[in-house]
Amino acid sequence: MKNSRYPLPEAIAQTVRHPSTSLSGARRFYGSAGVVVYADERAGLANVASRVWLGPNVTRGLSTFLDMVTPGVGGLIMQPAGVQAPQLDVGPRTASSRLREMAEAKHQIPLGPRRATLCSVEDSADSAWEWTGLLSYDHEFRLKSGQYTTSRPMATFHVRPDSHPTRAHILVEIHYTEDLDRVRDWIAALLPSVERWSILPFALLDDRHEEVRAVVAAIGAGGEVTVANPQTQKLSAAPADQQLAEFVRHMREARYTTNIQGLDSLIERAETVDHAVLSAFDLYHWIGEGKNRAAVRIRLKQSGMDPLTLTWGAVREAYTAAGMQITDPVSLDVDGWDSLTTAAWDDDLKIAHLRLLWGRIIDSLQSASASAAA
Amino acid sequence: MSQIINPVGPEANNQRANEFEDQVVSWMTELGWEVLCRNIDLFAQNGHQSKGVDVLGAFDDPQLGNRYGLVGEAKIRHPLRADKTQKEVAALSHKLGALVPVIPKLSIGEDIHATRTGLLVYDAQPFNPAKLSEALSTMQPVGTTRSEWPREVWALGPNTLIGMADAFSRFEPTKFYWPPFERQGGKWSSVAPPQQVGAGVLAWKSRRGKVCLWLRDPLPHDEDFPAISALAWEWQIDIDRIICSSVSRDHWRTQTKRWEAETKKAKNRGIGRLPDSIEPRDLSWDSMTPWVDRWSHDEEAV
Repeated sequence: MKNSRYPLPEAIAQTVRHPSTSLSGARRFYGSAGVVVYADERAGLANVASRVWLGPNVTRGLSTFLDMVTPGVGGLIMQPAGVQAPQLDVGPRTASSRLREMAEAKHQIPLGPRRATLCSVEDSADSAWEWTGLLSYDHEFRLKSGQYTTSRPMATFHVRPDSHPTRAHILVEIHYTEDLDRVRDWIAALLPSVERWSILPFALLDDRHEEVRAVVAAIGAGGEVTVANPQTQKLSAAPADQQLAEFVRHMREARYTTNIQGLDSLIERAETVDHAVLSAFDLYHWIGEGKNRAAVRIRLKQSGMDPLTLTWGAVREAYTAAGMQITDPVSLDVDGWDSLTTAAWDDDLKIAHLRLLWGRIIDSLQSASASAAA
Repeated sequence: MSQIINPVGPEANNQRANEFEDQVVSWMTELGWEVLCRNIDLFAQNGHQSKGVDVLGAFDDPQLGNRYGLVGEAKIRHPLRADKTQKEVAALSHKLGALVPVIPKLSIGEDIHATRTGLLVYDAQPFNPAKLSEALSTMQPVGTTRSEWPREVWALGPNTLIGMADAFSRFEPTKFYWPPFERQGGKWSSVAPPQQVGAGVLAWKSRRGKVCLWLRDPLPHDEDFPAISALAWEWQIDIDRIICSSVSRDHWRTQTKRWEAETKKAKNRGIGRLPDSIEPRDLSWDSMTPWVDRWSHDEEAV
């Protein structure tokens, strides 16, 4: 019976106790089952978990919560792979419209080994994006007892055309580590191979520091932007310069815990000390005006072969702890950030903000390529 | 007197709230939970702040051997808006936290080992179970605790209330089953396990000695029916009746072959046998009539 698809309370409790399990995810799971548990530690929540035998349908949603990651966004680019076959002068004229046409044709039809199924296609509520799709897929979760449970989480993606009609940008809202890959696999399976489309993850180039500067400037939208807690990484497998110190020659990755500072100092450290590239860092910027002005921290990451992702960090409002608005100018440094008050944004707001930032990144790259072409 | 009060106006709320609270008390009594007091302000001695609770109850846990308190709040005409639900859960949790040191000092609560369970009982129309589930899953609890057994607040909507009223009317309970946990085996008791009532998975012995299993939620996935077989095996009980409040007959028809295979397998094992079919009730949550019919006339509850 241990192989049954009904996870036992004992197995769930064992999983909740494990340090790799998200405590807030476990709390959310029990909330979805009808009980809010005020546990500050895994042990307390595991005790409650060990006594409750939930309904079979509820337990199937287990992985939906325990496997969740901090909300983030990542991107894909749909573009022709080589020379495309001649097409009739009818039907969609842009890659974005072609993708929508195919998506609508395969609506509710499971594709691929994960049975990825498009549940809805509609015009995007976000004016920066043309249309939105909701994809569900099989997601297996292994409990620490060895039992498996399968759920079908939903991945939301947004599509918009590029300045060039044969390219389309796809933004994926990431709530599970798999989301980006599943959307990519589904699009790849969806498009006819004879049309020769490629679906590439959105990533910065290896010689990336100039691109990092451009991305950071785009996110800041002309306002103040500061950074902290960088991670650097050696990308090249080639033997390092023998002139360098032995430690630097053999270093693969470095993680720093720092105060808030400027981007130049991070790049300088990466180039002159680590002889590596920035692979991740926290980025602080302002959003909104007047009473709605808030400082936001996000994590920008592109590690190894992974694509670029923006992950939610925190948001603070320009109010004192007593609820008075701070009218004096506040800088995005350690003191300034500490003087602000934590704001409560729900997941929708967080993702909407990340979507906005991703849109800014795409816009800046498009304008850069347009000026380069000119 | 009732004719003077507009039955749908706000002035009728107190009357309706009282009636609903009476029904909740009757329901708790049938579950074997002793109702210690109602509508009283338990005076929190540490802050001289009064904390009103609708119902303070107690039950004996046959597995841990202790007597536990529970606090119930009855809510009528609830819109089930996420923010309102979350605020009510937070308020009940806050009351629980404030009352924990007070209850053992009361004459009615001196034998209570701990009070860590809150029940929010909703008479909400229209009711959408998914909406309630989403509201609770997105809640960020404040005042979490590092204790071994943290506070827990269960929110029970009309699907629990109507489902239980319907199932109990068909098979009157006499003893309830406390499923095994950790090293504790399952036990029969005259008291229902609150966590199983909240989870919507409850087993009891009827007056005719039949073992009944009630499942509140729908079973939409193919794997959900074999899971019942696993449940019977793990609980080490033979089940005579299975009442599924939210399963439709049409859906059940698609699962009968699969179920036949499960019952056949179950018959070959010494324990954990299953009935030949389940009872798909496909109840509606639009009317509280089953609940009202069952629990509105028990005047001697307290």
